[in-house]
Amino acid sequence: MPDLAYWLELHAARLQQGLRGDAAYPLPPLAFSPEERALFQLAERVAEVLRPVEPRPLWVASLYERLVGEADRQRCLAVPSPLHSRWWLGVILGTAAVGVWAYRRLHTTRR
Amino acid sequence: MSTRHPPAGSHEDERRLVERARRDPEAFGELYLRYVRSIYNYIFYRTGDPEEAEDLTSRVFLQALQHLPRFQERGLPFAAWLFRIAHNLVANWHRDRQRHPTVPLSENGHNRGPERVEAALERREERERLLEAIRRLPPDRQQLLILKFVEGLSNAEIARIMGRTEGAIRVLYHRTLEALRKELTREYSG
Repeated sequence: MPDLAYWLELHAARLQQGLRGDAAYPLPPLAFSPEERALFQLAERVAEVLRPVEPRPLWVASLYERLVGEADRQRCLAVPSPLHSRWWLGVILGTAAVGVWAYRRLHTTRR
Repeated sequence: MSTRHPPAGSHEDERRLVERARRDPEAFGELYLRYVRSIYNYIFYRTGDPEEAEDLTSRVFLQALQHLPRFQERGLPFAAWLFRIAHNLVANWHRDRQRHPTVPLSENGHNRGPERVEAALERREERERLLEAIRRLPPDRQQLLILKFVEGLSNAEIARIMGRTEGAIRVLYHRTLEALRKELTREYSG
């Protein structure tokens, strides 16, 4: 005979289908002890109170707009623009040019 | 705007969607619509407050968006990652509330239809007592009950989200009911 966890699982599946009372039992209720039946009844009460609630559609929609806007903003920050890349190229070339100029100047002075 | 939980077997589709969401804001929006209801429900039942549920759900998705470039699947579905963020935020929320206690709201804001006043009050008290007892369970047990009854997921799906085996989920369900019964018995006798 399977253990009680197995029967409770079958019972839960029937509760999920909307069955209630004796109809939700996997075997006739009298096949179970009073303590076991108390657990089946408790499971049914839990299924009754834990029903899906719908969030407010207006809130869902406004959060959607906010998240998509935020995602768009993050994407813009993450992807470097061509202008951004050119700026860095300018900084690197400028630094190199200054370095070469300083090197030459130093050598000219020493001669 | 549909916010139903995705059907089982959409793992590959989801992996591609997560990949796309790293570059495409609309794809992240799609992921959001897929999971907003599940995360909202999870937080709503963990906190018992619709306003807090909205606030914390927003934070879950903002954090997910912020950390998406670092998200690596490693066999866990995207939903598991979201639930983990939600779990941490709810844990912090409970910690803050213990430090700064407030008066709990008994009305959850999700009433269903007209009922006779007395019977409705009695039923609501009963319901609140049970919900409070559920909220006193350890977080993994609360998550199991919410995924099973609010989301209507199978043990296999719950096991994937919680990172356990199906057998472990079955045993955990049995133990959760036992613990809940003890909790309620203690409450009625005390």
